[in-house]
Amino acid sequence: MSKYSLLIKTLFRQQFRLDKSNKSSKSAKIGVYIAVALSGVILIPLIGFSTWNMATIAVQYQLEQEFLSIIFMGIQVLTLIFGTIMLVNTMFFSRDNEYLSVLPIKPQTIFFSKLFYVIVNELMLAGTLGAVAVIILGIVGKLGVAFYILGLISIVMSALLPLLVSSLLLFPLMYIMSYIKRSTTLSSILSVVAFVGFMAIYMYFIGNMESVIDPTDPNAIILMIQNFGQMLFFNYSLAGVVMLSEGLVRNLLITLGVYGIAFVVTYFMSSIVYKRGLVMQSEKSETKVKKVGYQQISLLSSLIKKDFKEMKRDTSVLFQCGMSAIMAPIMIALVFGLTYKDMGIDGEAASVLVNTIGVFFIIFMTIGTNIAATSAITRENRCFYIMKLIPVPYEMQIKAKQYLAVTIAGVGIILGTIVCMIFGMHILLGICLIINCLLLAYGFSAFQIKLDLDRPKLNWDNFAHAVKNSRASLLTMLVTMVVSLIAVALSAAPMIVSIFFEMEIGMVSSILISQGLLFILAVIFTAIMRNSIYKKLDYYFDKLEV
Amino acid sequence: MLKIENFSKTYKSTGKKAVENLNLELFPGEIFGLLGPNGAGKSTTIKTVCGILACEEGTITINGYDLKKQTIDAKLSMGYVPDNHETYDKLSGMEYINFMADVYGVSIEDRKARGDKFIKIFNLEEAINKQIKTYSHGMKQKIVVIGALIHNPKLWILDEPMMGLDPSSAFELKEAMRQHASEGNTVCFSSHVLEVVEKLCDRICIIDDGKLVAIGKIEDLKGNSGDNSLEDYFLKLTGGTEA
Repeated sequence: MSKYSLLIKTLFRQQFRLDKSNKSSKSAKIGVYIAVALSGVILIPLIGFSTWNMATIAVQYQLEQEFLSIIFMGIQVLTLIFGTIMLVNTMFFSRDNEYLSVLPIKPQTIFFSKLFYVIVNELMLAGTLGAVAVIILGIVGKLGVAFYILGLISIVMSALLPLLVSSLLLFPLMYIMSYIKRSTTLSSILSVVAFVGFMAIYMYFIGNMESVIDPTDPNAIILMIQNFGQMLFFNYSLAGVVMLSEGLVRNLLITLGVYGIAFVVTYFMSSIVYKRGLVMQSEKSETKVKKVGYQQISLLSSLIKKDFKEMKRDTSVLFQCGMSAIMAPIMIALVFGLTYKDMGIDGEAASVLVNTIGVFFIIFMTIGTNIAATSAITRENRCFYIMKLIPVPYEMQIKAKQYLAVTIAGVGIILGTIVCMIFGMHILLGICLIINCLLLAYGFSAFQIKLDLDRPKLNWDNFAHAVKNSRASLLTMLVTMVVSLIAVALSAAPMIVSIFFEMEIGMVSSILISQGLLFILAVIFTAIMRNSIYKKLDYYFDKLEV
Repeated sequence: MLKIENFSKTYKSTGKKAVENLNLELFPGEIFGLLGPNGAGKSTTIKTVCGILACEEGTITINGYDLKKQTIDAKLSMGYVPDNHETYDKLSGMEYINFMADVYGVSIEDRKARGDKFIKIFNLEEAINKQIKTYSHGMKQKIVVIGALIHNPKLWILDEPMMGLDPSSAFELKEAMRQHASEGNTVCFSSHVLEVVEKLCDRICIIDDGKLVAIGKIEDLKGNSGDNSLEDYFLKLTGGTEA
């Protein structure tokens, strides 16, 4: 047990310990904690409000067990989405694996310590939201102390199950990955396909769920609670145990059986294959590179080429940085293709939605999630010193970073707009949107690189951990959300004006007015952002002492 | 070649004074050794000379260029090999050489001539088109050395260059340093291996607790103090701490 606690303690110290000697690191971490707390303050009442109504109906029709089962399902979906990525990165792609594999610690001890670390991290979000829902059900149903105690324990249990199942699926997957990791492109494509497949199933599920529920019909909600609540027998049984419902012994046996089997199988699998998996991941693999001779290209091209090659030859970096280019068009296609179709939206209504929601998606998903820009300096990691060493003005180095980031975002913008056009976006709007978004992407890249340059993470062992919840990513998402909402408002403004003032504004005029205004906004934003970083480059670089 | 005047360095993040009022001058054609106990300020001095750390107090002149005012020109005339050999390890050796040559503006003819020469000297022919991440510690050191020498810098600075090298790699590196100095350039390196310093350096300086405590030819320093070896002299001067 002491080795478990030692490992767990070390993992958490690595994550949470503040560098007391470094004031900026301390304030940065405190800033992130405050941002997380504020998000919680906003999110929890929202979840609480929507849960309250459902809980009231569930209690009224004695469907508490079913409702609790749905809460567990929600926790599991959240854990599956966010936890699996963290699980892969922590279990298999973390650089401490090589070090840990030579220590006199059993592989299953390493495995379960890391699993505990992941589950605690995931419970911060899924567990908090789940606890809010459980407490609300307890209040509405006037349930006793036993419910709250068992309910909170069951939240941890329900989050644990998808991680155990994911781990079991990951063992063979990691074996396959270790064989194909010579090809970064192939493994990145596989990662994207897996992610997109998962998202498609999720969207289909959500789409179907929305199509079967008529929120105005209480019977539909009752039916939905019944169906979804009993869909997963192990959640239903666990809920039965928490509610101390009829058939307690049977429910208890099912719960113990399911969790026991999952735990025992994972324990034995981890003891047999985890160490081998770790070793295989740690083995030096050589990505095939094209044989080249002496070549001379321009300085700017050389800087961009170097950065791009470093990015594309690292699966984790390529996946994170290329996500905005690939995911935006796919997500737009999924949203418009599955959800709206199932909701029966078509014709002019669909066109209006695509012209407004499409604008939001393109800006938010390509620019707001452009990790290539928010990790421009962080990506350099321990090689950052080379940026300061080489006889190249900082302006040119940052320009190279900006061009690469805008190119990646540009792919997403163009593909995303084409997808929107397929779903009915006006061609003129599409063309204007591409120009405006490219301009915005350039301005935002300056903003994003400035944020990263201000506080980069330069000593990371795991890229996904380095960029997860980074200040640059969080702030960028907030600002792009505001800008994309402004863009949506501008898109809708001529239409609203025409209705309100009973004026006749044609589609073409409407697009030209809204996109013209967006263009002016983009030019001003880009000029301000570009100025703010290039004027103070020496200051930012000088303060980074490596 | 390199002139450091009244240089002091305090780390902003910790407030620790790492170097205090350092004055130093290096001349063409010499190999200069920088000695000092751990944490004495050797790496801080080297990193500041290379532009990795900011120089707030004092003046550093490299080949006649003021590091603060003519930063790019000063950087163009020097090459640096770090102690950790951290480099762009997803690139192949050849891609890295091409990148460094592009950065230092080396013509295609010059990069071919120098690149081929060093690849042969360091026995990297087989590995040059493989990713650097697959290289051994010594091979990484060698590729970083080629990157630092591809523009034939007048000043070549190395931080702990012998650390972790096998005897043959260490020999090749020492030969390269001698060759570079014999062509009228300056080589400056920090080291913990006093035997290497004794055999290789024309002059040395010893830094202790951020201050320069000795500078000169090894024989002169030993002779003035009456010590038989550089080790005795070093230990006496630094209070017995290891180099």
